[in-house]
Amino acid sequence: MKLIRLTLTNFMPYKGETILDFPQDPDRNTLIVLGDNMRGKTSLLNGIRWAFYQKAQGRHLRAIPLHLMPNRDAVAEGDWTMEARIEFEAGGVYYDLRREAKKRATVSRPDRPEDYQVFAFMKKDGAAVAASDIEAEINRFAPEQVSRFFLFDGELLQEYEELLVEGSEQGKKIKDAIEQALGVPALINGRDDLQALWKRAQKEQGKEASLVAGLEAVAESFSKWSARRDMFEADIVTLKAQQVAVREERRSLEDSIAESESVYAHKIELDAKRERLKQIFTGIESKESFKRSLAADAWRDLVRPRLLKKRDQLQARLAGASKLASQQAKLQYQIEHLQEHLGDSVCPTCGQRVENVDRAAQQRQLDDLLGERAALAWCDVNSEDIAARHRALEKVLSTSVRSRVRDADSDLSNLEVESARVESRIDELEEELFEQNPDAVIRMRQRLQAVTRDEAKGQIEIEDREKKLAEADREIQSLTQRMNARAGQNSTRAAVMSKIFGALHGVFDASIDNLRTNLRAIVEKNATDAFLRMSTQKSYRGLSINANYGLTILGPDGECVPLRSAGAEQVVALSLIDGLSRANRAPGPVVMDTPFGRLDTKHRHNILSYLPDSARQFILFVHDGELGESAGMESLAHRIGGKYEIQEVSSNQSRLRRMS
Amino acid sequence: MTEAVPQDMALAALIEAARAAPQLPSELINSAYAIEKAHQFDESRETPLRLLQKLVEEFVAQSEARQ
Repeated sequence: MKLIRLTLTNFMPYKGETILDFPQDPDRNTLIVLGDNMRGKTSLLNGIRWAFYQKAQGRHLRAIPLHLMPNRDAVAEGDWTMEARIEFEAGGVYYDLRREAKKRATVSRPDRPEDYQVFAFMKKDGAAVAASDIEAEINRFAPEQVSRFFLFDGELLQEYEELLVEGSEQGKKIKDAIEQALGVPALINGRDDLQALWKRAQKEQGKEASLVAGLEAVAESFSKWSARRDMFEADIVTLKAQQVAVREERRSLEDSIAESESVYAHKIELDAKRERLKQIFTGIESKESFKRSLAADAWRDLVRPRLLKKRDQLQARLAGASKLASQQAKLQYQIEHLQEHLGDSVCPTCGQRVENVDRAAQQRQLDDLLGERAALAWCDVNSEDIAARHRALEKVLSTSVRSRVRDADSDLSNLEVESARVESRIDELEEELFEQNPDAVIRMRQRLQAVTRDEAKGQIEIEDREKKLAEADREIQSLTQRMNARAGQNSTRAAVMSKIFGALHGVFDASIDNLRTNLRAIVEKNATDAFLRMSTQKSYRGLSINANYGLTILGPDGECVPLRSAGAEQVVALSLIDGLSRANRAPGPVVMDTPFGRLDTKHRHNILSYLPDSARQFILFVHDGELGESAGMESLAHRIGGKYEIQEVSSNQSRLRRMS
Repeated sequence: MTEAVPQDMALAALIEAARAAPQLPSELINSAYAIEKAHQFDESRETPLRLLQKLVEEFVAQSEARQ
C-alpha cells in the first residue's frame, strides 16, 4: 500500500480544506511534518485513522467522541460538516476513500456523537464501491487490527513495553492484537467455527443414534451430556459477558479515580485551608483583645520618660552604694587588722618584737582609717531600699505598651495577609471543585474495591464452568466413539459430517500452536535485524522473544540484559513493530507521531537511517526538538520527499504550509 | 524496494498440522482456510459458519457419489 494524498475538511484544528501530499519517489520516500505541541500533528494521524477506520484517538489511546472533532471555528460559523479523504494505491489499484460526518437534520446544535451521521464513500480505479463492501475492501490491505504497525505514536510505543511484563492484562491485550494482525484469527476463528459445526453434527448424530436399536442408552446419555455441555457453554458466555462488564467498570473507575485524584487532593487542601482560616480568625480576635487589654496600661507610656530618668538615677545610686559598701568593708578590715597588731608587742607573722617607733606609725595609720570610716558613715544609704525601687521600676519599664501594641499590630497584619491568601486559595479551590463531587471520589474508591472482588469471584466461576465443560466434552467424545464403533461401515450422514468437522477442528486447533511458534521465530529474527541496525550499543547480540511477543535484549554473551534505558525501550519497541510488520505483510507506509521523545541523537540517527529503508513510505509528524536541523534531520536529508510545517492561526485553528 | 508479500504463515502452519490428518484432502483444508481468512475480521460468524457447513456437505456428497 502507498499513500497518495490526505485531504481534511474542518477536521479538528484544520478549518476549511487542508491537503497533505505523500512522497511518491521510492528514493525520497520520507515526509516530514514539523509542528509545535498542541498544533495538530496527532490530528493529521487521526485524519488518516478516521478516513480508514472512522476512529480517532486522544491521550491514553482513548477514542475521541465524534461531536468534539469538527473544527470549533467552523462549528461557531454554523458549519458542522467534517471530512477526511485518503487517496492511496494498493495492489496496483487506485483507491479514493472519503468519510464525511454531518449534523443530523433534526438536530439544531449537535453536542453528542449520535447527533452526527457518518457516510463513507470509496472509489476503486474510479468505480464506486458499495457502502456495504467498503470495510471488507479496507480489510484486504489494511485491516484496522494491523494499523498499529503503521499508524502509531509514542504512547503506542510505550504500550509495547508492557509485553515484557508476564501475565499483565495490558500485555495480553497487545498480544491478542499482535496475533490478530499476524493472521492468527483465521485459525482461531476457524477452530471455533468448526467446533460449533462439529457439535451441531454430533447432536444430529445423537438424534439419529436414538433411533438405532441397541444405541438408545448411549444416545440418551449423549443427549444428557450434550444438554449439560450447552448449559455450561451458556454459563461461560454469560459469565464472560459479566466479566467484560465488570472489567470495563473497574477500568472506568480506575480511570475516573486517577482523573479525580486532583479533586480529592483539592478537597483535602480545601478542608485544611478552611481549618487554617478558622485558626487565623481566632488569632486575630485574640490579638485584638490583647490590644484592648493594653489600653489599660497606656498611662505607662505617658510617664515612661520620667520613669526612665528615675530608673537611671536609682541605678547610679545603687552603683554608688555598692562602691561605698565595698570601701567600708575594706576600711573595716584594715582597721581590725591594725587594732589587732597594736594590742600585741610581737609580730604574729615572724614572731619578732615590734619596735615602739613602728607601733606609733601604725597607731597613726589606724587613726587615719578611723577618720575615713567616720567620714564615709554619714553618706551611708539604704541600698536595699534603692534596689527594691529599681526592681519595681524595671518591671514597669520592661516592655513599653507601645512596643507591645506594635508587636500585636505586626502579628495582626501578618494574620490578615495570611487570611487574605487563604481566602483567595479557598475561592480557587471552591471554583475548581464547583460541579465536582469530592465525596463521589470516596464512593468510587469503595465501588472499585467491590468490583475488584466481583472480578476475582467471576474468574473463579468461569474456571469452574470450564472444568465442567471439559468433562462434558470428554464424555461426549467417548459416547461419539461408541456410536461410531457401533455404526461401523454403515455410518449415517450426520456421523460422517461429525467425523470430518472433528478432524478439521483438530487440524485448525493444532495449527494455532504451529503458527505461534513460527511467528515468534520470524518476529524475533526480524526484530533482531532491525534492533542491530538501530541500536547504538554494538556489543548487543540481539533480541529474545517471550510468549507474549515481548523482547529482551541479549548481551555480548547471550545473557539477558534486565535493565535498559527509556531510549533503549523505545528502540526495542520500534524493532518489535518493524519485526511484526515485516512478518506478515508487504512493505507499506509507516506513519509516526512524535516518536522520538526519549531518544538520544545517536539512536535517532540510527532509526532515521533505518526506517526509510524498511518502510515503503516513512511519514513523520514531529516537533523541531525531536527533529530539527541540528537534531537528526541530516540523517534523512537525502530521503526527504516532502516537508511541511504546521502554523498556528488561532487557538482553534492551524494550517499546513508546504516547505519543500 | 521489493513488493514481495511474505508467505501466508497461517496457511503454512495449517498444512503442517494437516499431516496428522491424512484422511482430509488438502483442497478441503485450503478451502476451509480461504473461508476463514476472508472472514477473519467479521464480527458475526454467521457467514463463515454457513460457508463451512456448505463446504463439508458438498465434500460428503461428492465422496458419497464417488462410492
